Amino acid sequence: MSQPAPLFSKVLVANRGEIALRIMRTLRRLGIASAIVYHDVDRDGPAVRDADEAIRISGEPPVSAYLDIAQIVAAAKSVGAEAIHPGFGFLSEKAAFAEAVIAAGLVFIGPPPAAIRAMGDKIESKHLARKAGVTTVPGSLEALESGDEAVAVADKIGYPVLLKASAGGGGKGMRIANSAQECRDGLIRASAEAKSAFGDGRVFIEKYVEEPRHIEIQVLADSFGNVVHLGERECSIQRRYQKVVEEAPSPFIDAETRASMGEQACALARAVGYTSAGTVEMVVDKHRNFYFLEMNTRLQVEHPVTEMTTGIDIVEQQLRVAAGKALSFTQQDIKLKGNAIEVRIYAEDADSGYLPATGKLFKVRFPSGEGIRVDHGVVEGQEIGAAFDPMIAKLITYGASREEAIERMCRALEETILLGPITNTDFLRRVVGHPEFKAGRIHTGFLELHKESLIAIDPTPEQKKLLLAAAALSHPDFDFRFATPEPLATMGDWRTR
Amino acid sequence: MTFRDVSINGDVPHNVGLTRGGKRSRIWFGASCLEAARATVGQNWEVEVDGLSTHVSLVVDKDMVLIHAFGRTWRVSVTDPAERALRTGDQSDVAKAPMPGVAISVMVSSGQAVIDGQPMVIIESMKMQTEIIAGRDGIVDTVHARVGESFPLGATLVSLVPLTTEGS
Amino acid sequence: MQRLHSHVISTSDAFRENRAHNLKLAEQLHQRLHDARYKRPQRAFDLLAERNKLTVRARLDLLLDPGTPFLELSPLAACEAYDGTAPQAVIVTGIGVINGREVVVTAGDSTIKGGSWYPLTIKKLIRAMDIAIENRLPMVHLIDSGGAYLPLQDDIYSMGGAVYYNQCRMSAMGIQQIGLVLGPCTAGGAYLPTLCDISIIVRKTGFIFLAGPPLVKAATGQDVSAEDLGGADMQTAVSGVADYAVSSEQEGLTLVRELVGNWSRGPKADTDRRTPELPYYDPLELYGIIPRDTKRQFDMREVIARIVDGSRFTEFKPSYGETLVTGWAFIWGMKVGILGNNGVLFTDAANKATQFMQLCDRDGIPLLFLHNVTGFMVGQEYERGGITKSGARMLMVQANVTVPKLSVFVNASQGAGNYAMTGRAWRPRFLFAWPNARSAIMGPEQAVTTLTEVRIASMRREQGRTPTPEEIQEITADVGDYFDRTSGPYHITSEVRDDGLIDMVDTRNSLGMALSASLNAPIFRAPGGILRI
Repeated sequence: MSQPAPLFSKVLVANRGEIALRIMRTLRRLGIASAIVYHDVDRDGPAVRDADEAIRISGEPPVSAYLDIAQIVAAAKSVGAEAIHPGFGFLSEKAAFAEAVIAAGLVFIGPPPAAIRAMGDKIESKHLARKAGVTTVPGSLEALESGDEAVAVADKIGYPVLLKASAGGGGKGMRIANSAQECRDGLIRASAEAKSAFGDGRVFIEKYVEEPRHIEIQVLADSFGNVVHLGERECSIQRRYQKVVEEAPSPFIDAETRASMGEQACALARAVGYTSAGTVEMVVDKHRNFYFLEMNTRLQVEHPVTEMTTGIDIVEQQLRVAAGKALSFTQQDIKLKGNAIEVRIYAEDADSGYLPATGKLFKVRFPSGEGIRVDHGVVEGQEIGAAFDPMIAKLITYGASREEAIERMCRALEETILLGPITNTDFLRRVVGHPEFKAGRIHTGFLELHKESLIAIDPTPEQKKLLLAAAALSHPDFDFRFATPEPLATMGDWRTR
Repeated sequence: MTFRDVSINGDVPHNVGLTRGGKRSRIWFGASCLEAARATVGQNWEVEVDGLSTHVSLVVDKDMVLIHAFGRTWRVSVTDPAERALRTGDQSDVAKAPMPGVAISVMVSSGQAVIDGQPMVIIESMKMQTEIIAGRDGIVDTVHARVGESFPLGATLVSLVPLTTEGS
Repeated sequence: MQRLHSHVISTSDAFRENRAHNLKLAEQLHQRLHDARYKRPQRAFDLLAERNKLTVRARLDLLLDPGTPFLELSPLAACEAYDGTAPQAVIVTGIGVINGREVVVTAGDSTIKGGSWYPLTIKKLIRAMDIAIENRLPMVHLIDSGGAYLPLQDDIYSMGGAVYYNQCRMSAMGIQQIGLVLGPCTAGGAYLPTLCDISIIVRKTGFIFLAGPPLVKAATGQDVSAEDLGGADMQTAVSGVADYAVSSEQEGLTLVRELVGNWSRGPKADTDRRTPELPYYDPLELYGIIPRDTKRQFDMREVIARIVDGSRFTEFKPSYGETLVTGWAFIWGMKVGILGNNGVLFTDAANKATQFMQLCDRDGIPLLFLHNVTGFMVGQEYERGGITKSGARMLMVQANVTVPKLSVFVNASQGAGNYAMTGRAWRPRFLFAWPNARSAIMGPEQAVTTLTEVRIASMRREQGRTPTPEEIQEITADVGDYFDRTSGPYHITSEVRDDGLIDMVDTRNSLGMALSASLNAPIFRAPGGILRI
């Protein structure tokens, strides 16, 4: 029997690094030829090496090349790709890109441009969510006009409140206010910050959720109206509003809450005519009240934990949907099994304010073994520059229980060898091994709260000796040129008495 | 035999010496001397010292030895104490004229903070211009050089506020 | 290589008595060494501290690679001279390891008379330079001397010039020299650092000038501070007399280490080497083997067995000329040809020695002479047999071998035997003596008899009378004292006629270091066939 025809003959990956490799892995499995665009700084990277075809794009700074819609669409056309997968970041959530791809007669592997656009606006997305019956954090529906208005809303929903830029992200243009005065001041500051950061000074207000957990629902939708969810991912361990550790399922969510969150997420997807993979981000308070935050209209960095607990290749489903096929399963078919944890290994100094680190990656050894998945896009000798996000790799472990997944993660992190720029590997090991993390008592303030107990442990005297010896025995300053000749070396510190 | 200041993860440096000889090496931590050895195990090393041993993966990057051991990464810096002293400039309180000449530019003024290596005055002598730099971090006490004025060899051009005797 | 078989019975009374005796000698040696090195008035140490100066020993500790051996040379020089007021002849010399290089170090000791140079200081310093020259070892001078000890200038001045002459010659030979100035270097002393390849001065305590401030004042009326006259900054920045100014002794010593580390390391002479092995027989047994009575004979093989690797010794011509043991062994992995006395030298023994030395010389094997010799055999029979001719042959070959020669006075080293066995004048690269050693032109009894007879004869001639028995007894005692004193080990070492008195059990290490040092000079193998004499 002959193999069924592939979904596409060739797909261009408009991304770089680990996610490009991860997408290409599925393409290869499905018999689809891969093409990739690359900037010169990535020329020697593994993504370029592994792609069937690679098209050079240019730009300065390098990130601008990956944001250049015209160059990328032209690249896809030039190699005869039928579709473009945007990965995440870069152009993945730019409706204009999706439109340009479609206009060029190619398939955009992602949701319709309208859905991207609708969900891309924090205020509009919230409107839509409410209309679809999704619970949202109480707050202003419109951008605030004045301090008086902000205080009025805040009084209604109760302090503390959060002032948040409409176009914001990454924590910029965010302010917590505990009083009317703080509310007024915060509005001015948040607006100014948002204006300078995003060119959009609109700010709205919402209830500040205490001990919030960041929990998100993965949805999949096809163009036949089938919408399913793949359960939740808990991403509460964050630094500077960026996720560091993610897991599925959440240790906090029970089946009932899960079903309820899933239903709302699917409802929202339906409401915006969503197709492909998307993520509905929710904030959950300590009473398991959940509120809609936003919807990410793309593949998520942390999607592997869902893949490991559902056995579903999300990229494959994206490709199916993009190719006009129906999802290959229904909600009833989806069974969550075991626990998966992902950590993001960044080139950064977690012990000094998460400062990004750069430099040559001299030695790379990733762990392997049962229940361990490593998504990375680095090679030994590669220069980790400041041009892109400093993520080096994602380590994902799976276990029949959360304990097992954690246990494997601890070992995997200990076995990860990344010698070059400073990385957060050791820090992640401390996070994952933290008793509060193990107990599942986590929230978005976890890293800040447990700062003291997460600091690096000094080496033991024995370790110190070995480390100093290893350094001395290897550093060229301690050269053999200065070696004591024999037999004097063996004689030791002999003296005539 | 070599002595270096070796610091683990930016911690207080240890004065470490190494005497090599044949297969054996001796490591000196201050006054204590320990037998040490290393052997290759695949792509890694086995390091032995004082009866302890461990496998390490290791890379040397200039002054830094990057070590993966005990499930962690360690950044061990190796610096020459003598070299470190050189890096802190000449420590002099005054910047003197290395040759007779004329000041053509004065870039500092009294009370101004300067850093080691910062140009303070540009002088011209024999049609060549020379930057007079600060020999250490400090605060300018007096600028003796004046633009257009000539001075003899060894003349003090800028004096810094003398260092207090702290840490002596 | 075969292991020697020891016949020593360590439970015998003789062994025990010898042991007690020799341990006492060793104890005495240790005590004298300790006093010479460390015994100073507290005032001297206070003065150092006041000036931020370190003791000689502290300087050496900072200079030398830790965990490496240091072969101190002539540590008891001047121990019997100047009423004991100049321990170690006011200077420490030795061979040590700096950044992996074998270096001859000299270090002035300003805790004794401000480091003034005595005649024996010059002798010891020149001996250290000779060792550097003969073995091609670089030199590091830690200079801290107030200059010549003027009351004894007559014995210093002329000979002292050789120090600077040697420096110039060494420079031409390619022997590197570094001088670290830790005190005033005045007059001739100013040339010691200045003739070095590289010189360093310590600020505030180190000075170089032809005449110090008082002398300048007296001669010219000029009032000038020591620092301005010849201080570190003036001599480095203005005159260029010195190359580096440093702010402390520690900094200076670190710089010396750095500079020595930058020297290229020449190849060592290519000799037969193997992995070192400890002697099979315990060297501590030497104490019980060497008889307390100097006249008592013992088998030199017992000594060899406690010095050489694995106590292994390949004897050459074992049944011929049995009063001299010859053969090959390894010391600390380095091959040596050993000649050890087992009695008086006869014609056949001398001939065997000559043949053996030629063999070793051709094969590039260093020679080790273990002395226990009272001289060549006397008597009509031996004269008729031409023993002097055999002795002359032995001397001729020994003097002209090109391989390094090392000597140890294991017991007696007397008469022409001392010459034949490479005594001091025969330029051994290194010569060590044990605390039981005796060395003089003849044995004490012969000497007393001979000298007493000469004195009686002269009394008869000059005074026309025979001395009374009391007078004879006095003459005998007088002559005996003189011989006893001048042939004793402390006198020998005080006059720098050896390179140090060593404890018997230190012989192996001392020789190991000496051999290792001597291999820094190339060995030019002598062409020509070996004569079977």
